[in-house]
Amino acid sequence: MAAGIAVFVAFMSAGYAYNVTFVQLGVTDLGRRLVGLGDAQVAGAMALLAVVTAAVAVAVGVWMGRVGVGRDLVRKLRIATVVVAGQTVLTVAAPLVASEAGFLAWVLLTALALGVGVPVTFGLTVHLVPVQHRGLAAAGVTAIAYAFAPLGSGDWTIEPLARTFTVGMLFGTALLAMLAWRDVPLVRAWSRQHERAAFGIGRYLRGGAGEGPASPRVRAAARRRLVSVLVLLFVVFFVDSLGFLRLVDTPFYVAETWRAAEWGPRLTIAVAHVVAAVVGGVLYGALGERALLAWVLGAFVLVHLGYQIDAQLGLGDGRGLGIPVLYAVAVSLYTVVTFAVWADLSTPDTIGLHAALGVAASAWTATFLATALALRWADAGVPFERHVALVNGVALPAFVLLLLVIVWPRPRPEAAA
Amino acid sequence: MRPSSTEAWASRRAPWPRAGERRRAFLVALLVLLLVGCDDTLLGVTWVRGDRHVVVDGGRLAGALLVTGGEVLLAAGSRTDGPVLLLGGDLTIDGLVMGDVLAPSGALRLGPMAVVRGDLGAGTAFERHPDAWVAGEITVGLGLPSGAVERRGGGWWRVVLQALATAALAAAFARWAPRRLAAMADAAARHVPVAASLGILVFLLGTIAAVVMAFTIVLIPATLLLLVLGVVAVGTGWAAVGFAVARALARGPLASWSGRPVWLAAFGGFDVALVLGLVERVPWVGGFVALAVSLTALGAVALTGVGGRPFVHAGEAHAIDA
Repeated sequence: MAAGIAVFVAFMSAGYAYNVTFVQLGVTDLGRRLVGLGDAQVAGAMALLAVVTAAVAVAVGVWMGRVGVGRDLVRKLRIATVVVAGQTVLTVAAPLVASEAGFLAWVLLTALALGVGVPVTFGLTVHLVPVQHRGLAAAGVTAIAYAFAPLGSGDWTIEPLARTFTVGMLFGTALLAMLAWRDVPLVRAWSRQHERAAFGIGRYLRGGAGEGPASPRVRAAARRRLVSVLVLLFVVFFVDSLGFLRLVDTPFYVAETWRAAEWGPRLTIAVAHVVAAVVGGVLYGALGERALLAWVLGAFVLVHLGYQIDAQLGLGDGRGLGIPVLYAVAVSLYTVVTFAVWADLSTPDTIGLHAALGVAASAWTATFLATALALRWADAGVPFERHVALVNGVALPAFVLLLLVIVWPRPRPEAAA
Repeated sequence: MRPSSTEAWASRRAPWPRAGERRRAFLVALLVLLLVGCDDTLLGVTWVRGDRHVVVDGGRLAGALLVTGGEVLLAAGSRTDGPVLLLGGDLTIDGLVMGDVLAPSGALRLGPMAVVRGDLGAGTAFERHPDAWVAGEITVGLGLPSGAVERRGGGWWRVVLQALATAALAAAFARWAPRRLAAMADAAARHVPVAASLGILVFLLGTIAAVVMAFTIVLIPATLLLLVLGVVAVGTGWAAVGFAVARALARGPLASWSGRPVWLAAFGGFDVALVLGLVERVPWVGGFVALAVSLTALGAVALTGVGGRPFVHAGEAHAIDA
């Protein structure tokens, strides 16, 4: 069991670091600096990336459920190997892109790889991570992915990012190929684990005594929860990306925090990510995703209020570490939810589609739409304090609405019956 | 009816408003707080960091004035409503200031037309025209050199007072809200990682929320309220941890106390607060241990809504098999 969790954590953390750092930040630099496109054109490319990724992911998720790939670990590993190999080629090629047509082709191929990769890799959860340990496994993924991001060079241009990721991806491709095509006893054992209830039936598909995932009541409750999580995570990813993209473009706020020349501030942020990931992992297992996401939205509201007040009053506090640490905490918390919740809402047959809907259609769409919007606002000359005020205009009502949903009295089950 | 054991006694129903009423009251309070903070005009701080600024004759500056650099002149005939804080730069007051003036650093001058309705505290760079009028108390020579304040030993009385206060709080809960105390004690004793994790979140967000609210000026009372609530919550958590410890002891060496839950709770609360006060003084690890216990206690209070509902681990609720 431990080996399976370790492979899952290593694979997913590397994949997440690649997608968040290289794709989200690198694409912006590639389009703007190397190809020479304006903010509006890069924003359009980001939106294209989001739409194509989401469409491909949902199509692959549906296909996985229909042909039974969701239950077949070896086929998933083989598809993942091809995806990572393709992404390695795209990574090497990225700094060589010099024209707008080349940039668009690169974006489309990246979207294709992401769209196939998301449902397949998240589908590994039902074979490798038991329900009981999903929170902590997600914490491991989050901690590793985010611990190394602030400890890196701090240079988010495409060339150093491509060099850094190429080495890791070559190693990852080789490892995946070995697991996928050689007869490894561990893989044989893992490939049957989804048949056990401890792996194959998600936490939210377990009803009371005598109720299984096929029970109409359990299925209806799981569908409602799936929709609410999709909406909540869309809002969270949107708020995060909309704020962060502007922050990283504001040297005053990042020069002494995320991009500090000294190790101290970056190490502090990395430690905050790791501690928050562990906290999130423990709380996910104990409380559930809605309570955690309420904390996340509350944290984002505080972060953006902090930056807004700082910008309006010129306090310079945003250059301190309090608010960036809170930002890191919020990001780690929702990332934990993202890595754990789709499998907990799924069976092996539905994990592909649910992960596609959640990660691609909800999270990626929100991220890239927010990125596109942030670029548009920057292009239109919206000042920083106005930008964070607008972000809060989304975050604060969402937070209050979520509190309303959580604390508003609900009829007890017996009364409802 | 006199309880025969802590469990039976703890199962008594505590009188409290219905859950729906509490939630609605909480929501209304929250929305009012948020709406108050939304008013631009209430964010009344003028912050001057550089350059030269003048509040002209007939001009009115609503809210507080904060100066950390540059030159500011409050001209004759001007009016400043809020307090004035000078932390750097030059400030010349020749108009009316309705609040206090505090200038521990920077240069402060009071011109002949200056009127300060509140108190005035200034550092060494202070000049006052003989005709300037200050209604309140004047203190000159403010400002401490860094390193002038150091922590001395002692303070034992504080530890004893903390222990007595915790004992009183624990006894009060045991007498009037026994189910709440038992629920918090259960959460603190049986779900340590969960309580500690939530305690970290509550502490971090609460601290930053207090700081953010303080900057809005209008929410300073809310900041103070939050700080008081935080202290009371940690004290309540200590009382719960103490009760959990005492309850465990009541199954062994303190078996004869099992029928006296109020005394048991007071004993546990006193002991835990006393031990934490002593442990805190151990170099390097002491502060960390005290912080870890306090965060766990705070988390137990938050997990159970101050004991209003017993905490059920979601993993247990979903009957997940290993």
